[in-house]
Amino acid sequence: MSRTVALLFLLLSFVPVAARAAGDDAAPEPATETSQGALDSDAPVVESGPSLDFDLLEPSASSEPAAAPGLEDVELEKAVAARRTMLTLHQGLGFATLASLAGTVVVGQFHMQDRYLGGGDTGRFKLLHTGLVVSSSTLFASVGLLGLLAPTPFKKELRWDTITFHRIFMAIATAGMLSQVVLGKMTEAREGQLSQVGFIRAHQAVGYVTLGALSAGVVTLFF
Amino acid sequence: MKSTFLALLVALSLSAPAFAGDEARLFSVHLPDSELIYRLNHKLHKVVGTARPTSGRARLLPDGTLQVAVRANVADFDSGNANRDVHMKEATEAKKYPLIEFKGVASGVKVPDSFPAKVPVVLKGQLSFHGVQKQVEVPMEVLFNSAKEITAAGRFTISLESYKVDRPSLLMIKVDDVLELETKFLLQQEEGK
Repeated sequence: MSRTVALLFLLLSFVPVAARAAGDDAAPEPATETSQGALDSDAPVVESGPSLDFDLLEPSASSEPAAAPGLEDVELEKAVAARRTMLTLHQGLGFATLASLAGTVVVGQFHMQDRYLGGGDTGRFKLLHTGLVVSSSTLFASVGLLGLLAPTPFKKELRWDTITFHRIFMAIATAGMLSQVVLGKMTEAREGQLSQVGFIRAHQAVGYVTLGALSAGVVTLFF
Repeated sequence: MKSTFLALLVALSLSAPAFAGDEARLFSVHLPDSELIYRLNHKLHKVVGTARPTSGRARLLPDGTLQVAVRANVADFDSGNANRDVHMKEATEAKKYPLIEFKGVASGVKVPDSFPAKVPVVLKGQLSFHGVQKQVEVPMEVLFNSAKEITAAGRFTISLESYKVDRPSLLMIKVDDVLELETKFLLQQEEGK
């Protein structure tokens, strides 16, 4: 009899412990549906599903967005929108610049052939070359400014990535564009002088290098 | 007296395993050995970004219910290109919605008898991203390295537009709407839990 009482006592003593373990706060609650109706466009969208009435993680201060956007948020959204517009233009006009510069180099080559390499010195490419120089220079400057002046609302770390190579190639192209303006003027100023040949060759070489750097800068964006 | 003592021993030995089995097991995501990977397709290239979760826990209940919660910072994703990462932060409004969180449950999960052992688990839960919460189902391959250490890997896809994300674009071409999210977690049982 005492043995039976001892057994019963022992078994009963474990029942509350086991019940507590099973009834821990971990136990899933019945599914609760969250309303999806009447939400404004900025309000969180919620779908119902299995019961997720448990908390395993510490609550995060940044889990929920602020109820009303602050001045900082509005400024940020403005900066992001401005950046997007400027960089989209930067990309679109960048292709136009590449096309314009390629045309400038090709027509420049024809102009050189015509003027200095036995082409008859008709001058038929001069106006076109000048026009292309003006358009490609204007485009190049505009595209560069759009890229440089675009606001950066999110901090960027400097690293060796494709955008860094893009910038390096564009810096080379910028140096080339500036050099071409100077070389072009110096070439014209040495009309009839022997030293003009050297400036013509330099103008030609820098033209090709500038086009190459600009092309490379664009191509890096594809990787 | 002797028989009473024996009865006590038998009762104890029978009750002890049942008691141990009723304990919920709590696991923590070992952050340095865990990562979240997103993959996005663009006409010109594929984008892969990785981030470590900032916190994560799993609880295995005695009835085989597995509860999981994982959180990461949207701004932590690194695709190897600073400009692209900034663009992603803009598109996902990382300052307004800084976190990506998953909370899910699976049923019928039991700790295997021998190790290592693979256990397929399908987590059903909610992914909170960009201020939108949507139901997702994540098939996971759970490898019990031991009773106290688990490796879990899963992969699922979401639609960016369904999370109200204005898809980022490069050279005026938007990325595909489908974003693949891969998870790799190392979970370790918490001491005394």
